[in-house]
Parts: sequence; C-alpha cells; structure tokens
Amino acid sequence: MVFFGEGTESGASGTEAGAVLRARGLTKVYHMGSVDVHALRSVNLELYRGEFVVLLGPSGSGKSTLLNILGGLDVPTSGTVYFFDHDLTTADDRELTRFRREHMGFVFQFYNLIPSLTARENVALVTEISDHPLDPDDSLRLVGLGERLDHFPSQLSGGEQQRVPIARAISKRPDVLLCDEPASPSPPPGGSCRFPNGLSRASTRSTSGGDCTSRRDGGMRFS
Amino acid sequence: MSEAFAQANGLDPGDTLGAVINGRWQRLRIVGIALSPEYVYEIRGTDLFPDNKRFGVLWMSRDALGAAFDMEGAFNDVSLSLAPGAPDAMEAEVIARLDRLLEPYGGLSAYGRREQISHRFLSDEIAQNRVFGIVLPSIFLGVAAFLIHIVLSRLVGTQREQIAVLKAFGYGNLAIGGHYVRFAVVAVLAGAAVGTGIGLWWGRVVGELYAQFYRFPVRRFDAGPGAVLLAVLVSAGAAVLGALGAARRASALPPAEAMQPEPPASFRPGLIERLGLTRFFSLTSRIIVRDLERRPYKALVSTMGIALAVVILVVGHYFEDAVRHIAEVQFRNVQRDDVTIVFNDPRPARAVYEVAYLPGVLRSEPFRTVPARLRHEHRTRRIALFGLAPEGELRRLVGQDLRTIEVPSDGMVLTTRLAEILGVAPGDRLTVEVLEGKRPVRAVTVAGLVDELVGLSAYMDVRALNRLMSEGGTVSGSFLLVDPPVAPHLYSVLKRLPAVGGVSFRKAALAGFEETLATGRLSRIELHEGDPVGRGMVLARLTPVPIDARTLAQDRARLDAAQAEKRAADARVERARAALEQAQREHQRADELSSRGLKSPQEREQTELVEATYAKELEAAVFAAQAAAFQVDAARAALLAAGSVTQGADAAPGGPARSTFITVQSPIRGRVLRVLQESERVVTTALPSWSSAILPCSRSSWTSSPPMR
Ligand SMILES: Nc1ncnc2c1ncn2[C@@H]1O[C@H](COP(=O)(O)OP(=O)(O)O)[C@@H](O)[C@H]1O
Ligand SMILES: [Mg+2]
Repeated sequence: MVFFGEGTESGASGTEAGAVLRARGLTKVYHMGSVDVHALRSVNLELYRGEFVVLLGPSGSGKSTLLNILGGLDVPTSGTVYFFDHDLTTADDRELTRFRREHMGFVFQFYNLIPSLTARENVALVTEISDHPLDPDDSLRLVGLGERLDHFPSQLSGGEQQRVPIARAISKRPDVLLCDEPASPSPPPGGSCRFPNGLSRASTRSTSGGDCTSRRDGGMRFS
Repeated sequence: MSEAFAQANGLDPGDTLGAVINGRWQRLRIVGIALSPEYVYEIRGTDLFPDNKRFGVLWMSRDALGAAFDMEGAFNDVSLSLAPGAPDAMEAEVIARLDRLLEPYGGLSAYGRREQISHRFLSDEIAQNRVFGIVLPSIFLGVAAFLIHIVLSRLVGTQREQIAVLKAFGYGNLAIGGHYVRFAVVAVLAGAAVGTGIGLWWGRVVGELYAQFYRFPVRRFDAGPGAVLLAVLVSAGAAVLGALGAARRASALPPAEAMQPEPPASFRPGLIERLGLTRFFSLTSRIIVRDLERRPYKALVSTMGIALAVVILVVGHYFEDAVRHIAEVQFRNVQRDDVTIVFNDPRPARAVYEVAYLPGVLRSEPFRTVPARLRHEHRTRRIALFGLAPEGELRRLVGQDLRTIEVPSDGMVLTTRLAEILGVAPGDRLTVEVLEGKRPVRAVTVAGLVDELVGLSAYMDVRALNRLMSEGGTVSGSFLLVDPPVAPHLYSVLKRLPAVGGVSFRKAALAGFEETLATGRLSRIELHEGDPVGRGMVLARLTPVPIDARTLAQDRARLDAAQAEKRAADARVERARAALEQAQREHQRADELSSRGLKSPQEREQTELVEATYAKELEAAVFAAQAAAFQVDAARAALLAAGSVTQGADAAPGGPARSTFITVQSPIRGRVLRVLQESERVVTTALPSWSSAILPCSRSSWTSSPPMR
C-alpha cells in the first residue's frame, strides 16, 4: 500500500489522458552480502500533468530510491516505469541520459553544488545543455538570489546554498521536477514541511511535481 | 696542433715549442689549431681519461717530417675509407688483404673503425646517451602517469556527488570522462611548456659541454619542432594513460549510487587472520595490513614506483662507485707507477739503470711490449703483449680478490675477458704471431688468468718474452716511482731525452706534487687582458696553504737526506776526478815511453782505455751530483714554502684578514696578454697556468726557472 499526499496547488485534474509517469510493481532489492534489503516492494504510482505530490515516509523507507528510479537515475529490480509511453526500464544508459537531460529536474537531499563555480555558473551548467531553459539570472532571482549571482558556494550562507539547487532545477524548465527532501538535509523536529518560496512558485508552471519529505511520526509506510 | 692540447697548454698559432723528433731536439712553430676525426676524443691508447696537458697531436707536412727522419716519401700510418654502402664483411676482407700487403714492410695489422679508440669512446658515449634518453624518461613518465592516476582517482572520489548531479541533469558518460582526461591534458600542456623551455636550455648547455669536451667542430644544439612535438605527444600519451583509469571510474559511476556518500570500503579477513597472527598486530598495524591487502594491485604499483625511484638512485651511485672502484684498483693495485716512459725503439736492458739515475726517480722497472696477434683455433685478437719484470712492484697482476699474482717465468697470463674471447683456459696453448721485428710465430702456454677491470691484456715474464723474440735483454720502456717534489723537474728532463718517445704521468702523481708543492691559494686576479703592467707591480697574491708539522718534518728529513746524498755524490766526483787525473798522467807517461820505444803499443793502449773509462765515470758522477744538487734545491724550496714567506697584511678591502700572503711581481714592463687562471684556486710552482700567462714574451723563461717562492 502506498500513500501519496495529494498536491493542493495542482490546477490540472487527474482525469487528463495518460499519466506523465506511471510505475507498476516497482521493486528494488539491494544485495548486501548475504542479506537482501528490499528498499521498494511492488510500488504502483501515477503522476499526472500539473500535479504536486508530496511523499512522506520515515528515513530509510525508500523515498530516495523511488525518486531515483522515477527520474531515470536508477533501474528497478523488477517492475516497469513509463514516461508517457516510453518504457524507462528497458532504456539503456544513453537513452536514460537523454531522458534526464530533456525531461527531468532534480533537487537533491544534499546541495551538490560545484564549489569552483559561482551560483550563476552552477545554474548555467544545467541550462547549457537544455533546450528551452530560463535565463540563469532569472531563475536565481526567482529563488531570491538576484544579489548573489557571482558568489561562490563557499561565500553563500547555508540557506542560500539550499536555494541554488532549486534555481538550477527549475531553470531548465523540466517536465517533471523531483525534489528529495529539498527543505533541509535532515527533517526539523516536528516534521512539518517547509517549502522554499521559489519551489512553490516554480512548481505552479504546469509541471508535475514529486516531493518527498520524512516525518518522524511515520505518516506513511510501505507494505 | 690539436685544439685540446693547445688550449690546455695555453699555446697559440705563432708560439713555438720544443719536440724530440728522431732523437733530435727541435723547435716547432705552431701555424694553426686543428681538429681531426681520429682524435675527436683525444686520448692516448693506454689511458683511462684524457690528459690534454700532456698528450696532444701535432700535424706536419709529410715532406718536412720525412726529411727530419731521413725517410722522404715514407709513411707509417694509413687510413682507408671503404666504398659507401660496402657490407660489413667487406671490412674484414679489406683488413686481411691490407695486412698481407703491408706485412713485408712491418705492418702492425689494420683494424676497423670500431676498434679506433676515439671512435669507440664516442660511439659508446652516444649509445649510452641513447639508453639513458630512453630509460630515464620512461621511468619518469611511468611515475608521472601513476601520479596522475592517483591524483585523479582521488579527485573522482571526492567529486562523486558532483559527478552524480551532472549525470542527473543529463551530462553523458563521455563528457564526464573527457572532463577528467582534460585535467591530465592541462597538466601535460603546462609541463610541456615548462619542460620544452628547460629542455631546450639544458640541451644547449649539454651540447655545449659535449662540444667542448669532445672538441666537436660545430657547437650547435638542434631540437626541431618534430622533437618537441614527439616529446609532448609521448608525455601526453603517458598522462592520458594515467588519467584513463580515473576517467573510466568517473563515467561508470551510477548516478543514483553516487548520490549517497561512498559506502565504507569492503574488508574481508585477510592473511594475518587466516594465519591466526591477529593478536601480534596492534590495531594501527592491522589498518595498514588490511589496507594493503584490500588493494594489492595498488600496493604493488606504489611499491614498483618507489622501487624505480630507488633504482635510479642506486644505479646512479653504482656508476659513480664503479668508476671510482675501477680507478682505485687500477691505480692502487695494478698500475702503481707514477710515470711510464716508452722508448722510441726497444733498448738494451741497461737503459733502465740510466733511467734510474734521472732526478727524482726512486725506482725503475723495465717492461717490454710487443704488438702481437694471439690465435686460438679460429679466434684471433690483436693486442700488445706485455713483458713484466719478475717480482716487479710497479705493475702487478691482480686477481679478483685483489691478491697479487706472480708473473710465471714461463707461459702467458691473460685477462679473463681476453681468454673468453679466444676461448682458452689455463693449460691451453695458443699461437702468438709477433707483429714486430722478425715476426716470429710461437706457441705459448696459457699459464693463468687475471681479472683486470680495464682492457684486454696478455702478460709474460720479460725474460720469457725476450726469449720468444730471440733477443737479448731488451726493454720498451720503464715504470718509474718518483719523488713527488721533483716530478715537475723530471718531467721537463724526460721531455728532452731523445730516447724517450712517450711519457705518461699519472694524474695522482701530479696531484701528489700539487699537494706537497702547493704554495697556496691564488686570489682572484683582477687584471684584465690588455692591461699595462709596470716593473715590480703586483700581479697576483698567493695565500699559503698551511703546512702542518708532519709535512714540515718530512721536508726537513728530505732535505737532510738530499744533503747527505749530495755530499756522497760530490765525494764520488772528487774520487773520479782524482782517478781520471791519475789515469791521464799514466797515459801521458805511457805516450812518452812508447814514443821512446820503452813501452809496447799494447801497454799504451791499455792506459788510454783506462783513461776513457775514468772519464766516463767522472761524467756519470757529475750527473749524479747534479741530480743530488737538484734534490737539495727542491727539498729546500719545500721547506722555504713552509717558513719564510713574505709577511704582510691582506690588502683585500673588507675581506677577512689573512695573516700572510706571497706576492707575485712583474719582472718587466709590459702588457697582460692573457689571464689563464682568473678565479681563485690552489696553484703550485712551475704550473704555467698563472705565471706564464701574464707577461709577454717571457713564457719560456718563467716556466723553466727554478721553483719560485
Ligand atoms: N546503494 C544502496 N545499497 C544498499 N542499500 C541501499 C542503497 N541505497 C539505499 N539502500 C537501502 O534502501 C533502503 C531505502 O533507502 P532510501 O531510499 O535512501 O530511504 P529514504 O530516502 O526513505 O531515507 C534503506 O534501508 C537503505 O539502507
Ligand atoms: Mg533519502
């Protein structure tokens, strides 16, 4: 059983023809020596255009694993993932790379900025290989970093560093934006979700959004 | 005159020098300085190192030299060039025919270019450089590739999350891998720029050095763009090879996995656990052992890299030590003479005793050399057959353990290498074809082997060699042991002896007298070429090398001994003179008596003979007395150097105050023609390097004057 938080800001209805992302029976098993770790077990999921979905679960419940598979960063042990009518599970490395370049945006749990590039350059690194990107300056302004364009990551505060990956992800105008605990690397006590302004604004642009965050009280569980 | 010799002796066209030609002392004028392909490396056949000061080549017109020898139109050396592209076998054929052609005229057998000394030294050097040019860069490039591999692997390790992000956003594997290869390429480009600069500069320096050492006529260092390009490409190849592993790792990194921090490295129980030795290792030692076990390949390569670095060190030191060891064995155990003299032609054995009377000679041991071809079955080798004095001290045969091997009274001793070449063992008989005189061909037994480190030699007892040659006691030259202070004087005497064709002074002997005779350290000469000097003007200052008490005592003892010897020699002169006068009177009386018919002509002749004998004796005694007088002078000079030097304050402004110095003053008014020794160094008396250089037209008078203090 999977529980999905329903996106409230979604303007589109779930009845629209065909899901953007459709997962069927997703299973991911990690072989750790003699023990098998089932990170995912028969996950079924559909994400529709304009939807904003929040995925909640305790640490180690498989949220990151699921996002990685949906984003084409990893392949499931079994099960299928469709992006529209493209089967991602049979795609090879090269096709997955292209799929990510053309359709996916990520905000990772860790900022993963290139320390030797300024905020603008970190964003430009992504827009350079995108087809219809936003101007890096604009996307940085969207997340409130208009004054920090030429700062290196080491010259940014922790909160500012947190927002650069968001600008980076939205600047390429991806079809799907996947955010893995974008609010903070570790969930604050109480587990309330806190979305940066930029993210909530950016995800209104007719983009499907998958978002996951963990709650200590275990608001969901896999079976 | 050959350039190296001219430079070492400060000679220029227009200068004159004396030379013994066909037994006559002649003055020669230098008309030009030249180089010859036969003496690119100017070295005497028997030497280990070139001695440009004492060995040089003079070229004269064949007519003039022929006339000096009363042998117009004759020749004793001929060089041939083979037709271009002639096969190797042709050389052997030409040599064989040439030998047959020249044998009736006393030909010493021809040899190919490979055996030509200068050529061999030079081509050996070039071959060695080629090896070094390949081996050293290979090692360096290998280490560089390994370093690049390590550095980039680490970089990939620390940047795995960044790699993951780039991949997540759609950067391909190739782009990521290429990114890390470009790191290496940047390093190569920077290294290539710096390396090319240093390489060109260093190449020029080394080229210059070689041109100077070998006297190449052209001093140009050429490194075309091709060479630079090749070097850069080879370096880039090595760097990319080193980077490839890291680049592959980066491109193979699964993005999802890279997102997480690197999982702890996997460890398994290893050797020490299986052997049950765990408890003998401290925890920190276990870390080391297990780390090494986990990446055995990496540990191996690291070890190899360090091993190669050690190899470079060891090999470098090995070569240094080997050369030193060879020189030490050669000069301490084998060639123990200070001076080797070679007569123009073989001489009767008593020549050795005449040599023994020369000033400063402490001991003289004769030797006989005969050019010969040794033959065993189909193998032959042309060598100089050495006849050594039995129980000789100055030239010894030394086994591998450095123990002396006595020259057997019969048979021949070969160096091990020569025996290998000829395929003989002790007890075998080989054929000796002498290439001199009546050219006897004899069978000789191999009596033993010696392990000499240099050269190929065959030795016999000098008497056995004389027998083989069917000649009476005959010698080719002599090994001399020399009293160091007298060595320079002996050298000038030997140079003028008509019978002596070649003199080779051991560097050590010279260094020895440099040490004992050194008057001091020559301060930097401030005069420049062309400066006018007045009479009495100070030209140079010498700070005496401090002489210790032991040297002083030795000098004193030497003076005492020399004085005693001189008194004995003087007494002998007196006795000889008295005996001669007595003989002259006898002779006179015999003349008178025989003219009056009172004495038979035989009796008169007898007194004449006696008189002649005593005259000879007096001559020898006078010579000995002169030598003794010189020894006294030399000993006194050495003592004077220690004691009575000019006292004075150091005039050097601001310099550390030195207590005493010796000044060298100009004896005449003139102009400085050349400053041969400008910078500071220890100089000795009679070294023309500083004394002769300064004054015009006084070179000969200064160098031949007695030691000046
Ligand atoms: N690369 C991996 N190798 C082995 N086990 C893994 C790996 N990645 C994740 N896991 C395991 O899968 C489970 C789910 O992990 P994850 O998806 O990161 O959880 P979440 O993001 O919900 O905290 C965990 O138990 C984790 O230990
Ligand atoms: Mg996670």
